[in-house]
Parts: sequence; structure tokens; C-alpha cells
Amino acid sequence: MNIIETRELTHIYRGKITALDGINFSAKPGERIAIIGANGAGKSTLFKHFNGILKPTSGDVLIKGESINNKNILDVRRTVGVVFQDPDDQIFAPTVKQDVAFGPMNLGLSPDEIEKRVRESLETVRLTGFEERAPHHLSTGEKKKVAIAGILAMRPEVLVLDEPTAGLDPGGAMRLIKLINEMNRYLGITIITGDAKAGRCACCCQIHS
Amino acid sequence: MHITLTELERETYGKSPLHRIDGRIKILMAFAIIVYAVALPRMDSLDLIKLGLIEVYVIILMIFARLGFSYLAMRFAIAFPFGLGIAAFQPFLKQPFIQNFTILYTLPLGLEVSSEGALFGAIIFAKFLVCISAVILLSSTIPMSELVSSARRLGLPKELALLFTMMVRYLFVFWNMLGRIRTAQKTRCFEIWNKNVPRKWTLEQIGYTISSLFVRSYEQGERTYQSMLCRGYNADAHVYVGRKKISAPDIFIFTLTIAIIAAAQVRVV
Amino acid sequence: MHIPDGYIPLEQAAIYWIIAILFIARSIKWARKDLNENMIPLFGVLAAGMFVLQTINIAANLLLPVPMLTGVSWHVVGAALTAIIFASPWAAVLLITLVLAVQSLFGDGGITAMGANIMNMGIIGGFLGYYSYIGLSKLSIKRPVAIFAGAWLSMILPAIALAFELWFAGTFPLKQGALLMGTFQGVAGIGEGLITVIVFGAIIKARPDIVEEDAPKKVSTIKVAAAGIVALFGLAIAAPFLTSGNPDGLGQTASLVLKREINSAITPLFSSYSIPGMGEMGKVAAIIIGFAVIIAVWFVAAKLLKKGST
Repeated sequence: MNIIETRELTHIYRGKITALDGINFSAKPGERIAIIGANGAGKSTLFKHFNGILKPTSGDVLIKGESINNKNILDVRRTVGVVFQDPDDQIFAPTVKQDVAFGPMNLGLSPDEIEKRVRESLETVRLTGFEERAPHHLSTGEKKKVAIAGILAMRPEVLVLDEPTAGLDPGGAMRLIKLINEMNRYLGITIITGDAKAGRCACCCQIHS
Repeated sequence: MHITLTELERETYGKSPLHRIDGRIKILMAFAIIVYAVALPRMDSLDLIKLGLIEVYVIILMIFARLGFSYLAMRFAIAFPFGLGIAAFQPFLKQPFIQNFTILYTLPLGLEVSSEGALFGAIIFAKFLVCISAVILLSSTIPMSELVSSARRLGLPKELALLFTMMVRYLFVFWNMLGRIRTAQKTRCFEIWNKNVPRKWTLEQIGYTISSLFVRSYEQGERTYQSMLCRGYNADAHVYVGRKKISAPDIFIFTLTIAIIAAAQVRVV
Repeated sequence: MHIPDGYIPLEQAAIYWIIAILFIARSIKWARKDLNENMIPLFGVLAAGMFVLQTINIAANLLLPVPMLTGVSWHVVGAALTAIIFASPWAAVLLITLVLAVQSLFGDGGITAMGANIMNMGIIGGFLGYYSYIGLSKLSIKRPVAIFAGAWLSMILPAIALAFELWFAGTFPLKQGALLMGTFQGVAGIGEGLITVIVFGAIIKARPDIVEEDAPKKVSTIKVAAAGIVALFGLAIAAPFLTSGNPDGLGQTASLVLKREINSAITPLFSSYSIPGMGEMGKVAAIIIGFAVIIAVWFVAAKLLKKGST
């Protein structure tokens, strides 16, 4: 079964600008997919449909075969985790730990479970020991990792990364891509990136254009 | 505020003849209407006719400016609550400056509705309506940046003009930034009405959102300021304002507005 | 709680505007001189941020868990917050003025009434909120408590001032107004207080360099005392009206006394002031002039104290 599927998805901003025009897309569990296109091609718009932040002008978005509605929206957002381009938009709490705990808190999990998830997520992105640091003083690469950890803590089945390597130096970008590949391999989650560089380096991935 | 900056901005870039009128003229027009409305005596039933006349004029200008109906409806709707609230109380109150009250109805709990109170309520509401209409017309037919430069040419002190210029420039940047922050929070299922989390925690998250926006705008200010210094900015620097001559349509519409106000005042006796 | 146009007579609105302008002028001077550098562009950018953060909705349920309040929300004002962060009430006056000006374009608060709104939220809120915080800190009260109290006062005192202004305007009875708006802002003030404490804590963590933490130690006790005296003086004048069973009657008596005093002193100044219906306006004007005089005295006092301290 497809974990994400769009059918003739069209999105028109303010009745004027057509950002998406009849997109048919599907992703199966465990896949790695790169979506590439020039700036302003509509990648971010597409990603915002995957977890119901934007509603289609026409067409349909199916998550695990179900179309997104008000009842399953929380489940959808837990299933599909989206990491946006600018980590500063996502990270707002005064410490790394508080920020990573933000999602699990919203899901109403128990304190022990939250503690565990924060620890594991930070381990995955190799930021153990950063718990009490102020995100403000982290480097761009570290901020990106905190942003990813914040989504991982919600245990998503799909991880959508919008331009994950933007603003990183080549070394940092390579390390991040390695991390992304690892997450796909060990956690078995579907990874979708909106970044040509990450897509190419990730190798043997299926490219949709 | 529930109308978004983007919606407001879109209207201001309309192409109607009114949009093309010089910014200074539009500011002065709105100002004249507002001051006239507020200056009318507080208890005079003729006020309602005068204000009605001006309101009709402003609405004609709005139609002339081709402002969207749903846009206008929304703008009025969000401006109303506080103003309408205070006016709606008036029929039940005993205004200190009125000597005799004619009681129209007596309601339970000793509430009395007086015709004088109702009249006063109607007058302040009419004043409020005319003023809000003038503000909506002004703000919908002139982009904010032009509003500031026009105000500067009308004599707004240069420091204030600089402050407003910077503010208007970055208003949209932060507006979009907040939009992205909210999207990122929604992605992680944040919702201010969520009952599954402690209230204190939710309040904290809102506080953190505010502080992160505050710090980011402060830092944007620092960066902008430093880059201005790099380009030779100093305390005596001026904001550049383009020159624009007053044209015949400008003079016409301004004269018309003043004439309408004068006609309302003189003819309605 | 932004007063719209039409609710305050023009002459009263003008008086509030004059007071506001004096303070705005001084606040610009502060932004230019007090920080050693010309920080005006920075404050312009920050004002944009302040405007935007005032659009962040906070659910009323978070304070009062009443099901009826579902859907009701409020937002922060930030007068006390900015004054405390920049260790100067002038920062609050400047930023609140800019925010109010742009808000008025959205129909949030009037143009003629903007002077009164600036006076309430920026000046009264900023100054009294800030000096309460400083005063309490000097009494070695814990910082969060002092910040909470300052922010709470920066909400409730403007509400009381607003009730007085609407009463002078004849638009709303004093006691009911004070009760209504005081209750509303008193509750919202708890939220403002809590949020201010949280935001202050978070900002100090991210950028400790922009927060003047040791302000309570630096500000001279004389200044705090002066602010306290002004506040008490204001309260002493306001209290009889608020507690009296017949504030309108008391207002009349007070204005008669005030008017006699003022008339004997400044009759020549006002002899040309002949707006029709001045007889009825006179009593209101007298109180407002009194109010203005108090604030002018405060202003001069603050200025003198400032000179003395540098």
C-alpha cells in the first residue's frame, strides 16, 4: 500500500498562481525519494499537502489510503513528519531538550515516554549532550539536526525534508546526507527530500520530477 | 487582527483612479473627514444627517476605488466589536451632560431606555462609522510604504519617518516568518486549545514563540543597522522621498471632499 | 482596549495627543542618545516584530478553564516587557507608538484617539509597569514576581485610565467602566504577566547581552520614589471618584474647585477659548487640564531628575 499518494493534486494560490498542476505521486514504506526542481517550482507547496497544512484546490491526498480530513489530521501529522527549510522557523524553545519534547508533548504522551523519545531522537542525530544548550548558539548544521530530532521524536513513518542541505558547507551536507540514509536504513521510514544534492548523494533513489 | 497583512497589501496595489491620487491628498482627505466627524457636537440630531451624507460619499469613493465587497465586509467586521459595544450601552446610560431624559421603555432590573441616550449612542456610532470608513478607504488605496513617504512630505519628522520606513519594510518579513513558525508548530501538532497538555506548558510554548520572534526581529534590526552603517548611514541621514507633483485630479478630489464636508455643515441646518 | 475615533471629543483628544507627542519626542531622543549610537533603524525593525507578535493569539482558556471561553483569545501588549528588557520606559513609549500607528490603519484604535491610546498603553503602561518592576526589585523581591507585577500593572492601570477618559468624554459611567475594563484587563494582565516572565527568561537565555539585567541596581532610588509619588498622587485623585457613590456629583464639585483655582491662575490663557457649549465642557476640561498639569509636572520632574543623575 502507498503510504502517501496524491491524485491529480492541483493547488492554486489566491485563485491566481498555479503552484501544482495535476500531480500524481506515490511513496511506499521504506522508499527514499528525491523531488527535484528549480526554486519556486512548487516543492514546498507539495510538501505542505503531505501533512494537511495546505488543502488541495482540486485533487486528493491520501495518507495510508485515507484522504486527509479534520478527524485524522493529528494522525496524519504524526505519520508524516515535515522538516522545513529554515530550522529557525521550527526551533523556538529556549533549550534543545524542550524543543525536541514539543511534538511528543502535543501528542499527550507520558513524561517517561517523552524523556525516552527525546533521548533516542538526539542519539539518532548524534546530539547527545546538547540537551540543555540554547538552540540560539548552535551552528546551522546543528540546528538542522535539532529540527530533524524534533520531528523524529514524534515517531513518523515518513520523513519529509525540505532542502535539508541548504546553507550547509560541503562537509556538513555530506554528514547530514549520511544521517538521512541511516535513518532510512535502520528506522525503516520513508524519506522524501526536496533537494537535488541530497537526492544524488543518497544514490540509487527513485527520482520523480 | 484577523485580516492578514497580505490581503491589505493586495488591495493597495489596485489600479483605480483613486489609487493613482497623490498620497498626501489621500491622507489630508481622510484626516479632514475624521476631524470633521469627531468635532461635530455630541448631542444634535442633525449630526446623523451630516454624518450620513459623508458616509455615502466615502462609500461612493470605495466603489470608485473598486475595493472588493468581501474584503470591505471583513474590514468593517473586525473594526466593529469594541466600538459597537460602547455605543450599544448608551440607551441604558444616563449621560452626565444631559439634563432631562425621556424614558421610552422600562425593562426589568430597573433598566431604562431613554431617547436621549439612544440618540447619543447613534451619534457616536455614526461618528465611529464615518471615521473607520475613512481609515479603511485610506489604508486600502495606498501602499504602506507610500503612506510613510507621503506623511514625510507632509512634515512628519525625519526620525519618525525613518522608524516607520523600517517598520513597514520588515512588517511583511516578520509576518511571513510568523507564518512559517506556525506551520512548523502545526506540523508537530501544536494547538492552543489542545486539552491533552498542561495549560502552563502551552502558555510557555506561546511565550517561547514570542521571544523567538522578538530575538529574531532584534537581530534582523542589528544586521540591517550594521549594513546601513556600511553604506554611510549616520544620525543626520535622510529618508529618500521621490518627488511627485500634485496633478489636476488630485486637486479636484481634494476640493470635492472639502466641498462635501462644507455642504454637510452649511446646508444641513 | 483601543479607543476608536468618535468616542472622545476632539478637544480632549487633542490634549491627550499633546501629552503623547511630548513623550514621543523624548523617546526618539532616547533612542538616539541613550544608547550612545543612533539605534533608530533597529527600533524600526523591532517595531515590525512587535506588531507581528501582537497577532499571536493566546487562548483565554489557558488562564480561566471555563468552557464558555472556548474560542476567546487575547494577545500580549508588551509595554512592560520592552521597558524591562531595554531598561527604559522610553523604549515602551517608542515601540507602542509605532505599533499603535500601524494598528490604527487596520481600524484598531482611532486616529484622533491615538494620543489617548499612546498615553494609556505606552506611557502609563510603560512607565508605571517599569518603575513598579524596578521598585519591587529594589525591595529584593524575586525577579519573576517583580516582572509579573510590573506587567500586570501595565495592563490594569491603562484600563483605569481608559475608564476615566471615557468618563470625561461622557461616553461611559466611571464606576461601571472601571469595573468592566478593569476586570477584563485585570484578567488579561495575569496572562500578560505570565507571558512577560516566560519571554524575559527565554530572551535572557538567547541573548543575555541585549537585556540590561542589573537595571534595578542602576536606577536611582529617587527616580523610583518620584514615580511612586506620581502614581500615588494619581491614585489619590482617582480613588474618591472610584469609591464615591456619586462620582458625577463629586466630579462636579471637584471640577468647580479646580476650575476656580485654574481660572484665577490662567484665565488670560483661556479667554479666547470659546467653543459653543463651553459651559458644559468647562468642567470636563478643567479636570483634564488638571490631569495634564500633573503629567506635565511629572515630565518636568523626570527630566530634572535625569539631568541630576548624569
